[in-house]
Amino acid sequence: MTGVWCAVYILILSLVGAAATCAIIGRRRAALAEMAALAITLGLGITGMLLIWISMLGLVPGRGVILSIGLIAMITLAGLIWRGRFPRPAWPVWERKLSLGLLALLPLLAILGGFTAVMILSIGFRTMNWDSVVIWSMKARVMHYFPLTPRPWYFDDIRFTYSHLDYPLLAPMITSGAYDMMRAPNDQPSRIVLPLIYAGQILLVYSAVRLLLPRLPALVVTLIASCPQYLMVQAAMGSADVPLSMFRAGALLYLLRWWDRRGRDDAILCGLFTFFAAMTKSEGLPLALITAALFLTPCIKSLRQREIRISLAAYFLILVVGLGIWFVWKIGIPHTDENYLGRLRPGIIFGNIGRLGQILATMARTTIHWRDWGVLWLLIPVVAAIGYRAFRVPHTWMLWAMLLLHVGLYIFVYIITPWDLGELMFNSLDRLLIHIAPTAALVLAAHLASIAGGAAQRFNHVCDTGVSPA
Amino acid sequence: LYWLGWVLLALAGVVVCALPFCANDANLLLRSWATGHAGDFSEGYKDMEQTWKTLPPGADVALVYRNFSPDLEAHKRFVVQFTHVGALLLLPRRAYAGYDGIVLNDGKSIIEGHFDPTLRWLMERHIGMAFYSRMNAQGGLDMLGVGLPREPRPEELDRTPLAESPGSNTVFGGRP
Repeated sequence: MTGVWCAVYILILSLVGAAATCAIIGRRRAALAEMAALAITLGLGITGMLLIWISMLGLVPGRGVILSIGLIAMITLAGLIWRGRFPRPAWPVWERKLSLGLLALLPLLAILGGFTAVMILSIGFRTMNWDSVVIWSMKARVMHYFPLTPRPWYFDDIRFTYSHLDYPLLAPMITSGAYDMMRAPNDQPSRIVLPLIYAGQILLVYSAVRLLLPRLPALVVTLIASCPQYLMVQAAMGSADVPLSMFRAGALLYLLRWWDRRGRDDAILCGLFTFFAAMTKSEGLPLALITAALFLTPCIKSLRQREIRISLAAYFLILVVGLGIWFVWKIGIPHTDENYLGRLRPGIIFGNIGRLGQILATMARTTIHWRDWGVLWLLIPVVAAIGYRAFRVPHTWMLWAMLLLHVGLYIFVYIITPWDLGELMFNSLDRLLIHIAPTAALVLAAHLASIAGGAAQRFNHVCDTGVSPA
Repeated sequence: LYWLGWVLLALAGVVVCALPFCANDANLLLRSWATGHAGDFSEGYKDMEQTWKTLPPGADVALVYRNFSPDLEAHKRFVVQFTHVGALLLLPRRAYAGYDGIVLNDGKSIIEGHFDPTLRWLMERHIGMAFYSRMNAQGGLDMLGVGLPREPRPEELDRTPLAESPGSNTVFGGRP
């Protein structure tokens, strides 16, 4: 019976996502991959946040609450469809008149192979990764048993600081929702959400890359960025790194569209994904600042336009209100090990600047490790050199800015960390690269597009019409 | 050449997709799945679940370690895994493995915390049980859970539940 309740939970997540997709993007034309991506990822993000807020109101979100959310989502979705407010599908076959292309089957099958591997590793086993057990499973179980208001003893007891008491709660709440549906913290069936998260990551990366490349190269870039061995194993481990990568991919997709279109739906979706990323892992918060800066930069000159101001207000409202509630709730939670804000002192920064050489050398060694990462990181300098003409297009500069700021942020954290640097990098660097992978995919796609030619025209066309040119 | 390039990249992708099945982690997972015998950590995890199932439900638990050395890797590893996974599996009961304000990040800090509370300390926190893991003289591990008396005599309050008159304690479980 536990399997049935898990399946119902997945259905509810998808219903919530589908209703949110229709409500936000309305009648805009969208590719099937983008619609599926939004149904999955918005479902995960919105349901998880609703459960957190319900729990903050003092109620343990049990099966009844989740079923009610599903019912409301179903009614909303039916109402939106009744009023004709649903995206018009841009069928992929339009690109090449009913021809999928035999060559495209190769990367497509490889991606499906990767997904199957993650499915087997997720559902076939219980959670074994140490961080996943003591940090994320612990939080999921705490939220299964206790409401977040009054704050459970766990969050204020320094004895449990090994599980990082102040870490964001979105990823464990998604798992906790599965526990709630089963009415027991059954670890193995609850892992059904892991392949769903991985599928969301793949679809969002593909949808973002598809803005810049035709189908076949887009599939190949998605394969390279979403199916490295390390990423797939981590996707099945149950840590919060792949969910963060998924939400980052969503934020990047709609940031890219925002740079071109300035659509209100793009602003709302970019805001939501940025917020979800910040609620998934601590790294998501500084990334939210970077994303917000790059969101604002291209439209500073257009601030007099009312539509732009409304979109900006929507974007920042989502971030400020959403994160504001979280920060108010977590006031007073002890953080003894990783108080990085407290280490932002010139003495520490300049005192540790000598670590830079070790950090860069370790990064270089890790990124060229092809068994873990395939050719993703190796391809970037090569393709950037060959496709240098991409720098004529402004969004290439913005993507590079995002990539360098993201990498720079992690280098900075390694400079100020109180932990042993070698040990910390050994344990964390690969996981941080998972967060950067979607940005790397887009940088790769931007340069590959310039090699094929017509990157800017294609980008504008896809953003305007939702349909890829033949 | 253009198409050949894409085909080669796609083939590289296929190889990359096959790699999880060769990686150490996944290899362990797949072997475990095929043979029904999980790896070290998972096996220990299952044992812990069995241990906790022998405890009566409801009461908070103190996890006490005796005769463990902060210098021995095996001791530190056991203590940290038993404490951290125990805290997870014991929920919604609260697990204590250190005095107030003590950080339990690793096996060394847990052992060096010398947590062996008195009955008074346990009762002040409404802890219903103390679970002892003890290295015996033969280098083996004794485990036993001790239920706390509801109305202890005043002279018992400043003793640890296991130290005195073990015959009068309610002992649960007990696994070599």
